[in-house]
Amino acid sequence: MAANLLPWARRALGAYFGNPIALRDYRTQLRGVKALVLWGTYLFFLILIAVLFYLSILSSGSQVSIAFVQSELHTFYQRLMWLLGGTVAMITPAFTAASVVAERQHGSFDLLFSTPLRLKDFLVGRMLSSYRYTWMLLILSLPVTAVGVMLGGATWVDVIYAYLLLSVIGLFYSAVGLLISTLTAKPVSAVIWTYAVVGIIVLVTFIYYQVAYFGPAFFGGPSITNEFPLQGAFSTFGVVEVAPTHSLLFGTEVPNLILVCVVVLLLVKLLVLGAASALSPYASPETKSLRVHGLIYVAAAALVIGYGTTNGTVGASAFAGGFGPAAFSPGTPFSDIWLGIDIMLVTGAVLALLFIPRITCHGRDAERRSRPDGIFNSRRAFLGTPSGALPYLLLLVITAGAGAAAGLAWAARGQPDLLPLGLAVVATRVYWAAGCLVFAWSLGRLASVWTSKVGVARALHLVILIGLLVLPIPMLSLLSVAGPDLWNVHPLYVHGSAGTAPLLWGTALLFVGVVVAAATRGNERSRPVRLEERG
Amino acid sequence: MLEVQNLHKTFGDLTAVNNLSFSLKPGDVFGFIGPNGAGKTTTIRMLATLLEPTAGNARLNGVDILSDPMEVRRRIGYMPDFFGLYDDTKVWEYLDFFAAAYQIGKKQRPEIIDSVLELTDLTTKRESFVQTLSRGMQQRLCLARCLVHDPTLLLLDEPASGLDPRARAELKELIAELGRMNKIVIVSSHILPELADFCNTIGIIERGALLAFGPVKDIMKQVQPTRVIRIRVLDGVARALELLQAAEHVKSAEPGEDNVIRVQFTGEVEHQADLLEKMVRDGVRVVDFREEEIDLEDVFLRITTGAVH
Repeated sequence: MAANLLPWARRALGAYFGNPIALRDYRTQLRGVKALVLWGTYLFFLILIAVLFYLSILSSGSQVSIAFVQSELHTFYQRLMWLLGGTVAMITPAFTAASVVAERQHGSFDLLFSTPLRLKDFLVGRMLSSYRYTWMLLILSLPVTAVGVMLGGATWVDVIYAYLLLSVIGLFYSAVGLLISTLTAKPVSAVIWTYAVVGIIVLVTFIYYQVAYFGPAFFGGPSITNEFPLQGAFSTFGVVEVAPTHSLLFGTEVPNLILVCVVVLLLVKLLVLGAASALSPYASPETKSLRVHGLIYVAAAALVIGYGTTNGTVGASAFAGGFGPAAFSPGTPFSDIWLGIDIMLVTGAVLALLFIPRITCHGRDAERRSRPDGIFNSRRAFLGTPSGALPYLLLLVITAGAGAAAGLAWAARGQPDLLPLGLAVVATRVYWAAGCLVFAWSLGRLASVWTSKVGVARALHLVILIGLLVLPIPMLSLLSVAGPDLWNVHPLYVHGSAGTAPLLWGTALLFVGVVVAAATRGNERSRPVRLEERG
Repeated sequence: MLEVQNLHKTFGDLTAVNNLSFSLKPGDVFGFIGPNGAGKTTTIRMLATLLEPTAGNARLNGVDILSDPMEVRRRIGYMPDFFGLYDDTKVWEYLDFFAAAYQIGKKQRPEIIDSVLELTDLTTKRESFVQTLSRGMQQRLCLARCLVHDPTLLLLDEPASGLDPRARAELKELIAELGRMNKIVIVSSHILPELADFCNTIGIIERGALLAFGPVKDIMKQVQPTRVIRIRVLDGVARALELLQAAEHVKSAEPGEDNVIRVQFTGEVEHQADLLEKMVRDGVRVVDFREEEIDLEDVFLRITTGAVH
């Protein structure tokens, strides 16, 4: 076994150390006067803005106490880190956004992939090359940050923690850029889409951070301690506040720094796998791996949510004993603050919704991966062909249900009354979610019948889904904070609804979905293909 | 040894390659000829493991392109018809990058780079940036890239396209040298006369099907089973025609302009010599006596119909 492990470890590490792509880019990245001028300009502006910050703080008053000075110096340090956070959010995605699409346009793909270079080596190399720039941004800013430390605004430990957080979040932005770069045809559209997506992420994470930071004080709850909800810890603008905090995970205090690193690294892996899958043919190991990872991640998330729903209410959004400070726990006046875990789930659902058209629609595409190959084939759930889309979506729902049930059972030990209620809620939710997905999937098939081009079908499907979500009744239901009623089961509003509503809505959506899918059968615009099964 | 067995590729309704089978041995320089859209590039890309065959297979020294593509990649050098070179990269860095991609150790790389640069006559350009090289040099650099890992099989897709006559001649000599180095070389090209100079085997493909395959001379013989002898006499054409029509192995003799007679001849070279001797002995004053050789272009035009997908 050890004999097998060694070559495996060598190959795995080879993707990160001595990666040919990263080495090639390393030789050329910092070559010439252009790079020197670029970095010099960056440093100049960084110093200039830092000086302006400092001067603005100096001019804030003449009657100063030591506490005031300390507070001002901390503000100075905080503003420096905001500046760095903004720089990372602005510049990091640009480096990866065009990396893959430019290589494709350059015509060097065939040269690369006729060598034993693996897709993973290529993508990781591209990531490392781009990520090197993020580190250069941070390292070059060290002299400026050092001024903040020397003046007493922060300690070196604060700086290291904040830099680590910034670099990890920068890695996430790089991975987003990488994925979009593989999905787009032109560098310009890759850059535009990357900035659009990263912009949304920056905005949403900033909202989480603001709510988590100011929420308790705003609602009159207990003041912020070192406990800080994880969902607020991903903003590039909150690294100073987040660095020394922790979250409660399964009742244990875990530093947010570690949690953010772990969560981001897992997400980065998922994004890189997504990029690899997008570049590979159907049934590739990358596609299978992506789908298996998707299931594992969903199961893990559901386990945490299931565990968190036990302490008091059984609403999926209440994370008692889970993430977050006491102010967000059930039993306090703020247990229903929906701008917390709920919005995380909504964001996750929206992101998932973006990928449903990707895996569902069929038609003609350049890579010939999305030709119609039937409606439902459970053996293709991991292959990436349209007939495997619904089996995979249903598998996702079942896995999520199983994870949530396991979490519930774990947390409800010693509370026998709670378990049946919790499991009933999970079961109805699973049924309802399956109905939603079947309905969403059937719309993808409908869109594919209207056009023979898979790209157009995907766009159409996405428009239909978004259109349905913003229709007045679902929107009212989304905004409703009333108790459970028939309308309170919006696909993206998972809070509070119980009783028979999920069952009714699940059945209705399931029925409509099956009818629509049956109507599309045999009406495919592009000729169906018979794909040979591959191992 | 490269064995291609029933290689087949379809793109939806289109059959790009239709049950292609052939085998090549070390030292074979195989000219792959066909009109645009015939399936040459698709075949080469399948052999390069960049495209998966719909059916069929190919083995290089027993290694299967389907079950072990990574091992096949270690044994092939692929030069596409269009390739991008990385800007801001020096010639040695470019080769070093691909040597690293072929998992060649850091210590061996400088020596290998020097030797392939010498082989491709680019030693003086070692420190130049790739974007400053001429088109011919860039082609040679790409060929050098294909050689860094000492491959068994070279797949060269239209290597001479866009080159001036001198660069073409240099490339031709280089490919011939690779054949002498006992490598299997597959070259697709539209410039047919040039292929004949260094290819010892050719294959003609049209609409995905291999219409002819084998040594150049055999294919020429298939296309033209009789030899054409061009005889020019000083005078006495009638007498010469009389003699020729009565001679052994002569299928037909037709007079042309300028005292030239074209003879369809079924005999071998010895019989040609006998015929010439007889004509001279019988008093025909022969000025010119030579076999008209058909070239690859004639072969290609006779075999193919011009149909494309």
